[in-house]
Amino acid sequence: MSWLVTIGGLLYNVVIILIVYACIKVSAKRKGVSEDFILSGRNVPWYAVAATIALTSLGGGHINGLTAQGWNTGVATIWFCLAHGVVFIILCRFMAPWFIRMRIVTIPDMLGKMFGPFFLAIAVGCFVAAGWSTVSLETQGLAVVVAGMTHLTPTQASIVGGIIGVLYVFLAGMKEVQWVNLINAILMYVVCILVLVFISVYVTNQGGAGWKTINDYFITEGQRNLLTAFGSGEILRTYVIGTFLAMALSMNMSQGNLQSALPIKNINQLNKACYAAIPANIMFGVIIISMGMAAKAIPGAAATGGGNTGVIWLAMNVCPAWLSICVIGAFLAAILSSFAMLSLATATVLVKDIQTPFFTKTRSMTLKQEAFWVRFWIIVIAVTGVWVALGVPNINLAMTWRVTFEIPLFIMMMIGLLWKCSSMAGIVTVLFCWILNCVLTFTGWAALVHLEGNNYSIFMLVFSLLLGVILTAIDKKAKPGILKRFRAQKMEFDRRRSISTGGVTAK
Amino acid sequence: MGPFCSLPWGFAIFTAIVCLIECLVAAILWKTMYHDEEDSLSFDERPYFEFKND
Repeated sequence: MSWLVTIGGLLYNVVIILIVYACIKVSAKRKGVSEDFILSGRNVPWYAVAATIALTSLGGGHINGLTAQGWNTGVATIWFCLAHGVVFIILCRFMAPWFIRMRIVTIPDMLGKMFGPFFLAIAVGCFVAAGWSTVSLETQGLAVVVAGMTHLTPTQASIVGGIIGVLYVFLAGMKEVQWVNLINAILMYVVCILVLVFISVYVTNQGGAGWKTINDYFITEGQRNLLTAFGSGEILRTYVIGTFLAMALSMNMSQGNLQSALPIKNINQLNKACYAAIPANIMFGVIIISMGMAAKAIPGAAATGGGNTGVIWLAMNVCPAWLSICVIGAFLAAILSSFAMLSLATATVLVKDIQTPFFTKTRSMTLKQEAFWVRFWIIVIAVTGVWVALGVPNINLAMTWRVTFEIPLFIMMMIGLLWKCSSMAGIVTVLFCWILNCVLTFTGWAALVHLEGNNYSIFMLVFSLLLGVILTAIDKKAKPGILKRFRAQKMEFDRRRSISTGGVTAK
Repeated sequence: MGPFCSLPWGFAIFTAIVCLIECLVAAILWKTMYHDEEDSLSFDERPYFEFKND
């Protein structure tokens, strides 16, 4: 049964990937266009972009992390997901429109234009490390799901998951990711809502009263706080605030998230994509956390010892075989989508920010050459990502800790966009905050101000804001904000164009 | 702390309300952010303008 479901779940993804690839090939042959591997020709409709924005940040952190975390922090775990709504607002309102207008593809490139070549170098290093480490975490998520259901070792399960993850993006790049994500987003919702119904039926068949029995379990066990929006004071202090800030302020600095928005047809369509991506991502959190909490209240699932393994138990034992296959397929799809998009994004940074500016042989590439190098780096990232995947601890906490390194970059980016660009302020702020984050991680100093637990983001926010603003204000060499300079240059460009075309403007 | 959210419907309703608030914030920001007439043009249709970082 487990093997059947696992193989079915993997085939579910392979079949969708191959069907989409065949459609893309037929369409490309008919239209006779050369494929843009990185940005899909920047001609993707808003609903496919919305699905990719939603699914790129919905991966192992949700499937394995939230189900496990839900046992400790209950309903309040949703703040991890609600923070993604803030991310999408910032992405679609402040980031993607300006990247499109400025014809910039990567975040390090933008940071380099703001704060100079040295900052570009440290930003590229940070982004490659961040993207690659997240690919490793996603691989770990794949291994947990596959190894949890079969007799495969975690290493073997990682390799199987990694191969399908590469397939998700390797064949046709961004276009494939966008359309596979759209199909998967729809199927994920249908399948997972059905699982919630079957959980209710299962509990009723066991002599209970559906979800009421699950709610009653937490109340009778003295864990009523797990059913409240902010949890207990302890949960609010050690999980909700830190996690919300970490996610809301740092996920914007994910190249994968940005790159998922850039292929949109035009800037106005980002508005619709934003409204669709917010509920598409967040409401899935409700489903997955509910499943995790149900696993705690149902003895068979609880006996597995964790929310993530408990949810696998529920998928296998409360659903008919066809639904078990679909739910495992949907879980794998969620993780695979992040794996694929982050591999593509990290490969894009390597090609655009290292190969193109620093190597003469690859300075000017055709789309075909660019696709070759991006594919090459995707393979390298996936192989090395799988290799280290098994040495990473708890996914949810590891993700939350890792992304805090991006908060100083986000704060400096906002200062550089909206106010002034100071290379000195950027470099000092980012390096100081990163060193502080390491010190807090390996010492007990955070407890001195009662901010132990997953609260690194609070320190990062406070120190990067303070240092970033003060150092930028006192730096006499600081340039005006990049938006101010862009708009001045654009106005001059439009004025000249208007004169040369006899007063006729764009279009 | 906070409102009681029974599984799964109370939880879904609470989350949907916060989602709506976030969409409302997104709508306000969209109204107040910078726009130009080229926002409705596709990337290929936009007049080629290269930002000079000086």
